[in-house]
Amino acid sequence: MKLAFWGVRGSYVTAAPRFSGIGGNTSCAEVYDGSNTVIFDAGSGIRRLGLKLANSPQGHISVLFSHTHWDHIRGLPYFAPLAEEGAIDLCSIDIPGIEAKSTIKLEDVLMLQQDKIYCRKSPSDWKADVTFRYLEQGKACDFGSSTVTAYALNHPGLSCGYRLENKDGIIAYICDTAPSRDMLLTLCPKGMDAKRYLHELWDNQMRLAADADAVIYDCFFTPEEYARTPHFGHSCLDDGIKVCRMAGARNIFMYHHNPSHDDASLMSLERLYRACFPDISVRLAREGEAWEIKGGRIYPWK
Amino acid sequence: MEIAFWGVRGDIPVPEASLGVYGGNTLCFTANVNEKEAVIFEAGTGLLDCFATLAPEHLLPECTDIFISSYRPEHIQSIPFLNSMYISKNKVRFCGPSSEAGGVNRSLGILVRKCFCPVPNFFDEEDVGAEIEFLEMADDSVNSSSLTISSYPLAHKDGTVSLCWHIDDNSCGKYLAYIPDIYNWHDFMEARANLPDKFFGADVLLMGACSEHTSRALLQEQAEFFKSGRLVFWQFGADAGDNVIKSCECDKIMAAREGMIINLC
Repeated sequence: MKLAFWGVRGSYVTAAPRFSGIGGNTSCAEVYDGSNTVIFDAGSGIRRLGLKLANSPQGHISVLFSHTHWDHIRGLPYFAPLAEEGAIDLCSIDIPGIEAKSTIKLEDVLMLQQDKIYCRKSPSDWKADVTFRYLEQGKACDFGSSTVTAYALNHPGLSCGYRLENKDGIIAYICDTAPSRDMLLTLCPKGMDAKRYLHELWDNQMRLAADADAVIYDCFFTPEEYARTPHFGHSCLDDGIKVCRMAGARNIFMYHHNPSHDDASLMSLERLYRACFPDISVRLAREGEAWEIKGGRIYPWK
Repeated sequence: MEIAFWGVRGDIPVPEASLGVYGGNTLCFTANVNEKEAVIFEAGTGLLDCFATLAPEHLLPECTDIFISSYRPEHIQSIPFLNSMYISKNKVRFCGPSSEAGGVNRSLGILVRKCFCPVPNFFDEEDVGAEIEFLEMADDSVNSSSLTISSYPLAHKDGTVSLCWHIDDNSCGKYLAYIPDIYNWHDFMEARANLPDKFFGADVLLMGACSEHTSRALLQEQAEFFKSGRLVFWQFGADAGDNVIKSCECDKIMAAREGMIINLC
């Protein structure tokens, strides 16, 4: 299967030359298993992915939203396949025990984003047959020849990661997340103890990454930055490497880059972590790069 | 009056365009910025670079006015990410239209709704962040710095409104007229007859030419109709490459680009 990165930046788009090597578009990753396309998040990077898919269709499209913060939904109004005939699923997580009144459903959030006050593109212009799917946490759901399982993550509001599995391998998308050691940032299910739920969220990261061939991980912070702002809801590569080691995953993509980290600083971080952690294959997720995952290994996509 | 462009793109920022001629940040220009005051139009991602330059320690000039034409993303999307908004010493005034969501405060409030953004709600919570004022404008005037800034509402067929701006430099008598959000040239050509006289004869006419059907001929026609000294166009669509933008330029018709400065006086 193919894994391609169309947006690797967190918080906001960085449009300056010093970010152009790694990329300035916000979160969007594409997985194509030969018959269907699964897209993680609709940050600004989804615009260019949509142009490609409009010219070269890749079967049924599913967009899996980790959460609805701006950097993960910004590009959806400009996703060209929505204006074409075809079937598209827009998906999020359903967590039992989270009170409905404390969250806003994905469908309602996207409708608000595209209210005419705020957007000149309207859902009424969608020609695609759009279905909203809410994946029950922990339950493997069919997406063509792949299955996807969603698990809650520790990030303000309601956030989740996804585990995608098929005959070629396993991809874990763990973004956005804070490490589950300091504070509970996400909504806690009714009746559950906050401390216990924090442990559960850590276990969720294990479930997502178990024996994964590729882990796409929220590496927004350096350890020093995290220590200053642990309440922001993001992690650093040290946390991702710990997850990979404990879960038996061998390849990690540094993702959701901090908008203050330019190309030079990110490449310096990559070199440092490769030297410090030779047991885990560390790669920067770079906009425009694609990888083939097959037989437990990762190759550049040709 | 010195006009400086920090972002020129419509809809959504285009990082790959940062390697080109015109730039990839969304809308922002400043008119008069110094230690004491800042007059800013639009809060697209270009404003992030503007503030990084203007306020590297996040402390803004004493009088900082941000004029917003409408609440579409390219006009407002940087606001939650401006570190200066979280500094209590700063004072910022947002001037813009009302909308179906309410006044300026309510209209901008979407940016910091919890479902979209985990930052503190500095619009509603008084003890969080900068001291913020909101000024609702329609057919109004306000003084900012040595400028008199007048607004005029341009109604779109979908019922939304964008504010057009007349920026008059009282120190030299020159003025800039700014007409944003031209989504459809046909609709605009019907509506433009209603614009008041102050939008005609401008030393610089700035037009938000976001329609994909923008052409040199159309822009030349606008320059003749409005009798402007120079016509500058911006708010290019995400798919508008450098060649397409350049093809619309000619004598006295110029595409705005990041980093461009126009001195009116």
